[in-house]
Amino acid sequence: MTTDVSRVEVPRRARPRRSVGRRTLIVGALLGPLTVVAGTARAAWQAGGAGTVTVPATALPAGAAPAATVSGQDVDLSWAAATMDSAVVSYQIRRYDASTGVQQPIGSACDALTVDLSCREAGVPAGNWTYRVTPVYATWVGAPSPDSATVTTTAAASDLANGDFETGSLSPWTSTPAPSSSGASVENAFNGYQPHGGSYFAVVAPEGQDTYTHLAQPFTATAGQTVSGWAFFDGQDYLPFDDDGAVVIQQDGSDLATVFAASIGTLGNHGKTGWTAWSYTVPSSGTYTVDARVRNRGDGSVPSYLGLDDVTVQ
Amino acid sequence: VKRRTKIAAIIPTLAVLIVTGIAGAAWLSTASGSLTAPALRAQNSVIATVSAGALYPGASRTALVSVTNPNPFPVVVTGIASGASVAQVIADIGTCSAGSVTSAAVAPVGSAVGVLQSDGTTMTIAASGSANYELTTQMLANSDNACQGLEFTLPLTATLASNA
Repeated sequence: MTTDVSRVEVPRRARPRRSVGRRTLIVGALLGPLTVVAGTARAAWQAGGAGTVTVPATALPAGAAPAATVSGQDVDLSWAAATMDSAVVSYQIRRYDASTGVQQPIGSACDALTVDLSCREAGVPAGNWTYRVTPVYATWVGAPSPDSATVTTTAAASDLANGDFETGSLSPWTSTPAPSSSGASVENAFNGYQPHGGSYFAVVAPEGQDTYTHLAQPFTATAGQTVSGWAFFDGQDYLPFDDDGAVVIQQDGSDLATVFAASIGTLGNHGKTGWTAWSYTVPSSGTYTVDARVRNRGDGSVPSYLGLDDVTVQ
Repeated sequence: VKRRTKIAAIIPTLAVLIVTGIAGAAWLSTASGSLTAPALRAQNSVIATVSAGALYPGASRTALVSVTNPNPFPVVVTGIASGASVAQVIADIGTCSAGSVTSAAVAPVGSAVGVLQSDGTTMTIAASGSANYELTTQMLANSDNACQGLEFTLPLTATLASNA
């Protein structure tokens, strides 16, 4: 970026030289470099720069231990907000077995991510539980909170009534078809069978050929509760008359699980069972039905029987 | 002819004096009477962090960087290139992917010769001076969980021009 002013030349003139011409020559010679210099000053030097900018990222705080209060089998949870700048933080709630620390399925009301600071888990199975809250924002997950205080839930009283038939009647059990000369009945002794407990038990007898006679009662249960009882099959027939009986757990009119089953085919001619325990743990809260059934197959005579006693929900 | 010779001798001398005087406003010269100017080389500037707002997924913040001018003449910043973070591996957690944090390029507005400084009005950095410039930084909305709590160092480059 130098300017070689020595190369600035005074223009030659064809005209005769005069004093005015010399002055012009001098002024021109002086202004010439100025013009060059002015032009040079407008041209900028280029330079570079390098370095860094250091940018911090924030982080989600750990969750705050939730407060948990029990109301029957419902647990109300609340927790303090986890703040991260102006971000709207969500929370994930999880329940753990207080003794083993194993995570448990949590009720739907608390299962999804929520921006709220409370939720209620309804129908919590009986047991001792703790809860943890984990802050979540977009793809970031904070540290889980410490455990809540342990809460204890107890099973609701069962609405299944007269499961031991100690009232001496079938009510509120329902027999289908309606009992006539045979059908279901309450007994204190039958074909050599005695009550499993107490003084009475139910006996279901087939009312016709190749159709089931049912003795049933609906009940409500929360997830994790268990319905249990005792049953026997008193086979009177012989093959090929394959009489059968079963105890089935139903929901919404459909069979969910067969918890007891017996037949002439499996037991042999005149095959019988003793009192046999059965049970079923419901997978979710809802209404279920215990359905005891027996069928006389292939003929209308020599019926087989099903016994039922001590049905409970816990 | 004699007079013309004298005038011709005076002219370069005056011109040298004038040029040296004017050029001295932009860079140093030995001005010993020689017609050869010194070989002055423009020095690169240094960019450094002044302050930066903390980021989280999807957030955008302003960072302030300083640009120093080590040259003996004033300059303007004609541009700051965009920057991007490199990958970081965090033990037992995972990787914070490259490009999780970026800074936007900065350029003069309209026909301005330089970028406005953080005061919103000044453009020129004085000789041997420094000035602050604003950058917009951003974190990806789906940045990795491992990016939490990290510091991201974004390399930056700038272009400058003398502004005598």
